[in-house]
Amino acid sequence: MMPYAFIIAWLLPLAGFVVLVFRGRRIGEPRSGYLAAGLMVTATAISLVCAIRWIVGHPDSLDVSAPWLRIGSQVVNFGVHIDSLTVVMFTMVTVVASCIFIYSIGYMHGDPRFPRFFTYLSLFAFSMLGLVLSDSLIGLFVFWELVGLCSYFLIGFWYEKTSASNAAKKAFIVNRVGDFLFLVGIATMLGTTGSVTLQGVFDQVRQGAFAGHGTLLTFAGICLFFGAIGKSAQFPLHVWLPDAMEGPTPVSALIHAATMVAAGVYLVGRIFPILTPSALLFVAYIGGITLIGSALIAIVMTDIKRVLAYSTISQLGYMILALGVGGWVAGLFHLITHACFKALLFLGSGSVIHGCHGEQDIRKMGRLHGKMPYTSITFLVGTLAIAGVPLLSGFYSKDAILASALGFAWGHQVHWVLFALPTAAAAITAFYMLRLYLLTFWTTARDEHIHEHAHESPRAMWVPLVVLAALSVCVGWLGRMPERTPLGGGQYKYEGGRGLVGLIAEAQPTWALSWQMQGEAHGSGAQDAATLAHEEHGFHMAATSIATGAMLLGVILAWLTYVKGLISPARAAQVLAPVHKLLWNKFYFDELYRATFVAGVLRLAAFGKWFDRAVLDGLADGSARWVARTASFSGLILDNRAVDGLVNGVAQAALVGGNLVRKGQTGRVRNYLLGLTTAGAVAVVVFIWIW
Amino acid sequence: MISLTSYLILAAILLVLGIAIIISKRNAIAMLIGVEFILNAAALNLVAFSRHGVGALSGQTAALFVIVLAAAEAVVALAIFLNFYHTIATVDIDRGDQLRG
Repeated sequence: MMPYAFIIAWLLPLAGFVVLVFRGRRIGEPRSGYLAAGLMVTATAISLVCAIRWIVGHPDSLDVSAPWLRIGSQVVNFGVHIDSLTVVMFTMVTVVASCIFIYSIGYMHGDPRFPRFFTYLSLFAFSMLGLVLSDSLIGLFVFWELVGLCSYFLIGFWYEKTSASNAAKKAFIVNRVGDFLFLVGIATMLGTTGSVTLQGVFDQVRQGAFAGHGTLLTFAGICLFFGAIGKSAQFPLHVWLPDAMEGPTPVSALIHAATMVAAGVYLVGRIFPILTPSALLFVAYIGGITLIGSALIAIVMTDIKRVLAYSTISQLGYMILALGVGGWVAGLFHLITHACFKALLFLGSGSVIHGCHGEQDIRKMGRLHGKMPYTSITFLVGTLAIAGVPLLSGFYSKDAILASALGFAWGHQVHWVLFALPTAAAAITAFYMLRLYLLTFWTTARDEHIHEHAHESPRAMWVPLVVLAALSVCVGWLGRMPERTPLGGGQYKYEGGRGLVGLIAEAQPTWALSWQMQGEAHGSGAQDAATLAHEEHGFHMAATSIATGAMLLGVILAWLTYVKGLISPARAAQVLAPVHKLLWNKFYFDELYRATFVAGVLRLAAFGKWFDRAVLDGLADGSARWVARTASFSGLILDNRAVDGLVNGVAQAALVGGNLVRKGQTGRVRNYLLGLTTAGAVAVVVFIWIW
Repeated sequence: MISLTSYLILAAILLVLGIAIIISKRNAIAMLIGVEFILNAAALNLVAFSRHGVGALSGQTAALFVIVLAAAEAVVALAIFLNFYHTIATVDIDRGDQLRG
């Protein structure tokens, strides 16, 4: 019964999409929003009921599948796999999506393409839920592409703006790079294990489908991970996400903060068992580089949405890092908490932009707290949650990540940087988020005009903010980290996990290649994985104090800078001019890509154009010219002169000959007789003369 | 006895005369007369060869056939000329050149 309830909840947004895509214009402005939001809220209600029943009933996992297509002898099933991670993700997506749908009714008010916006949002919700439910790599890939497509549509929603349509293209193309490698990974899996369902792949790998081909498995894992790099905007494919902020703010909140970009993390969590230690190390380092780099960039950004975008990239880096160091539960827990507070922050920024009539530059804001109290307070909650203030949700999840990282770094001291980076980034996160909050809502009003006309947003917008703020506070309380005890032979047991985290932990794979192979891959100095994992909880205390210390450092620094004014940001920018310039230009990644890939592609295109024009067209033109010349030769000379000449000549000869001969045929008998007798006489004479 | 050569010379003269008449005369009747000359030259030859050469009266017999043939030929030719006259209203043989090429 339960899977069908989920499937119904999943299909509701699709129904909304179908109705809106055909009748959207007819349904009109407020009602299309009500329709989509109503369906979404219904889906949320269903999923909440199911989630509660799941927690009470504790089923193991549910699978429903039906044959979808047949490739040769290979039947690909289209199936739904529901385990506790699916339930958590499903509920998270529906709850966040409901808030954002409702918010959008207020935010998109008056937009000429209001129904179309909800059409896309519904399609997105459907695709995202499908992605979560899917039980096979192929299914994942299909919905993966669908959410990418929705992202493209929605980034370029205001396509009249060149920057928006360019950003949409950029997002789509950059994602193609990751998706291509994702597909390569799927193909490798299908080719080697003959299966595309996650369970089938795991079983095959476990039974040694890759025995003796560890490198191939690492390669396949990294290829699959590249899909996540593209979708979750990790280094080096992170460049699209900040530009994606050209889309309407609810889209940024739903797609580019809470759900779609987290799909990459979800994917890594799903394929986690087949990632080899080397692949996981790669994952961890990508996460580490991403989280510190984007956190640094976020310090200097002045566009409210771009700060949040870089913050999102940084937080996604945290999750990826957590998965890379084996903190599976921590990474996915952070995904859930992050979805709540980042959706809240984005919606808050949307409310600010709405209230300031489209202004996005925080340098022109300030002292908005009095003007928009709801937005300000909820934004503060989000800020504190992401900074990791104790008792708020971000604290728990970030703490869990740092504990995993510390545990890993403790065991593999070569990789100490994997703990140092997230710790440093924790301080930076607190700093830039408070900077954003303080510059926007406190300090001085730097632009009188904007300050004067600023107003609080309508209720449809601030109610979701309050809901999300409540979630941002409480989600962390809903569970306790389970203890992981080794049973030997790569088997683990989880005990004591409760509520949300317990649910996530239930879905954690009970085996993984990396646990079986850890020793050999990380060098002889590495401790046994089992001991490490057992010690993990011992790191929690240390990690908590370090994280809180880092957070406080960031908060104090921000306080001194923006409230006390002890440190002047302008002077700091002057003193650290090269660094500031580097950060301001986002480490020159766009320029680098423009100079290499874009320029390379353009040059290739220019070469292609030249090749086309000069060589291919030349060949075509040349052969055409040759044909024309041959044709004119054979037509004018050969045919007209030689062949026609021959024919005409024969006719002419016949004519001339005939004319010549007919002169003899006078029709007069006497002439004939004369000729006859003359000839006879001549013959006789000749005969006599010869004889 | 007159020699064979004399006969042959006379026959040759008759033949050439006949041919000359046919070639030079435009009147159809005159042409018929020319034809008679030629036929009689041939008949004369036959008789002369028979008189001086081999074989009893075969030459005379052939000469009789030639005479009969000449009569038949004259009949046919006169019939043609009558038709010719009907068509063209003359017996000038040069006017009958419809078969020219």
